[in-house]
Amino acid sequence: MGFIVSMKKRKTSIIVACVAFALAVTLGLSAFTTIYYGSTDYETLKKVQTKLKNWGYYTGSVDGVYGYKTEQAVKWFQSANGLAADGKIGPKTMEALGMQVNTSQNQNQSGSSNSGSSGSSSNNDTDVMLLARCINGEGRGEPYEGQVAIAAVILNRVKDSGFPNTISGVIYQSGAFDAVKDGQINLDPQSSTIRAAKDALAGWDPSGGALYYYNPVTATNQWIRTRQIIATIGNHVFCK
Amino acid sequence: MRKNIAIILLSAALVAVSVWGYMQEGGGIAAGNSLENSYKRDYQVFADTTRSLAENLGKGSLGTDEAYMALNYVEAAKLSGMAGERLSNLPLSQQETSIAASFLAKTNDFSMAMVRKHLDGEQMTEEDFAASTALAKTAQMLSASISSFTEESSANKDFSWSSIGGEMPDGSPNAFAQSLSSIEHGMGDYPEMVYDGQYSDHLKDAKPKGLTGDEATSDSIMEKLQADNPELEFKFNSETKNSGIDSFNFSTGDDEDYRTFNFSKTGGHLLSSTSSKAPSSTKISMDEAREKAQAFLEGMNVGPMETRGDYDTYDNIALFSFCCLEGDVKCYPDVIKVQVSLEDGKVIGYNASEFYQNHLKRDASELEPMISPNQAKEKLSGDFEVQGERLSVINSKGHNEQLCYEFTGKKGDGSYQVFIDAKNGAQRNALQVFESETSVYSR
Repeated sequence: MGFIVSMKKRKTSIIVACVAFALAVTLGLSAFTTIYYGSTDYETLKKVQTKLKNWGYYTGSVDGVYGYKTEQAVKWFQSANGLAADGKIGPKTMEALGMQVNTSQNQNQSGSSNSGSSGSSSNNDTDVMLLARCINGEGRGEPYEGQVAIAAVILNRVKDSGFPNTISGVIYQSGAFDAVKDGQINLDPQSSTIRAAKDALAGWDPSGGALYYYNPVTATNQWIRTRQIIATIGNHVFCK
Repeated sequence: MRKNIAIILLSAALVAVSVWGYMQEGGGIAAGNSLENSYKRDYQVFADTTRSLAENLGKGSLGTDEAYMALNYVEAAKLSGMAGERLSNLPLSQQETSIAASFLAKTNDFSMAMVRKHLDGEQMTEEDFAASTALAKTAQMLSASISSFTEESSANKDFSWSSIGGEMPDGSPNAFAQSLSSIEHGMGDYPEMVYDGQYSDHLKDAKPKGLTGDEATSDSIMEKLQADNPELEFKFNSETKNSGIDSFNFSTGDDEDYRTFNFSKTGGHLLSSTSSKAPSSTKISMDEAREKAQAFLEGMNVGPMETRGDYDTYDNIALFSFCCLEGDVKCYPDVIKVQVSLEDGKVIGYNASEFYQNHLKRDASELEPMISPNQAKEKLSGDFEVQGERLSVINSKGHNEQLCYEFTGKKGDGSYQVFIDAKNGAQRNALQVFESETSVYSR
């Protein structure tokens, strides 16, 4: 008897979850709603929790519930990515997480961006996207100039005899970039990082010919601190 | 009854978890083996090609037959390129591989320069032979180190490439990284290697040719910047030191349109500027945008410039490249790039770094061809339909300028640019021109 009651309860829960999911999808397509402590956008929250867990910000279970642990993880992530650490998942945080923000405004921006870059073929499109993904993983919260500088460092390495002589060779060199190690390179790049990649490929180099960069606040590698400093842009020190 | 159901469910769950765990472990072991095998293959090819390279370079300077030597250097270039690629695939950091990688890249570069020399009918100089001998000696040293490591690692049954990062399994320093860096001492005795290649010593710390004027200060530049743009508020950000061209960096604007400006310390020239502004639509034509870029350049006091011929559009931005003109001669190394917003026609990006690195006043004698256009044209393939010709200056791999006849034209369905040396008729480059609705470029 108890088992049947439990089955009924589960059935009801599934229906409720399905309705909630359908609502979430419908709402998500029409307008973006900020997600905060207590929000019930389970599917989006599960994706957020999964990403935060993979990147080491979140240690709780992936249950789609916006509780204390999730809020702390979101705040930590926001702080580490140059965003206001308010624990609210708005469009900027979503973008930084590499998740699509389905507001009508952003759909328009995405459309114009696609049409603008569709014919950009003076450089290999695969290289552009790989560079953009690496910039996205390494410097999402950095100023635009700093994003171009990250791409320029990769291209400077391609030209240097001590590194592999292809963009993919440099990016995937063992231990070269944290974004490769933690998988953030696989996130969809923000539009600014695609443009930063194209600018760097066109010859812009705000790093001044740097081969390395690091965040002086978080870097633990002592060797990198012995390198000759060229410039400081945003949170990064560029050196050779 | 309820208890029995619970036991059955728990047992089923336990079996399911066990099966899942077993499958996961099996998959993990297979993936680990596959990765290890891949590293072993890369290492083996690296060791084999390095040994062959050492032998090849050792034999290279025994004779004087030009064809044989050219072929030998082709082989050396191939082997060093392959060894470098395999080395970069191994699970070692850049710091651990940089010396060996640098040696292999330089060997590849030098070998290709010697091939070009032989094909041009030039003799190797004493300096070339000295450099070749030094490279051969280092290759032998590297090969010997790798052989020793192969023996040691084969004897150590705990050794695996997958766990080599940083330290060996027994806690000792990474022996392979030590083997690679053992060539550092030998490389300290190198003669200066000057040749026509991108890693030639003459390009190390090459000084910019085009920077003129007195040393500027950040205050003097800020004063001028503010006076020229009274409506904007500028901020001095930082100083760029130890780079090819040292500079002062300024910024203005907010997140929507954050603009940066880089001025050289020598002469206070604008080297580059960027803008984070993202134009949201295209309202002006490419011709209008090109005119805006040209007009902007005229105000920059950089002398006569001409469009390089290529352009690109992305994110409602047009990118144009301009080359310096010396009389009618187009100088490709002296290039300036300008970005124009296709929304309002404003210049939002500028890059003259290459221009100041390469620009110089060329002697008229250097721009005089020694062969006629018709003699140069004879070097072209018979079915290449010439549509335009002019004199231009291009850079070789080692940044040596070459005066060329530039022929543009068609062969079959393709459009091309062919560069024939105006001194001796040798073909220096050939580029295919690609056109689409939004860009024109050649490579």
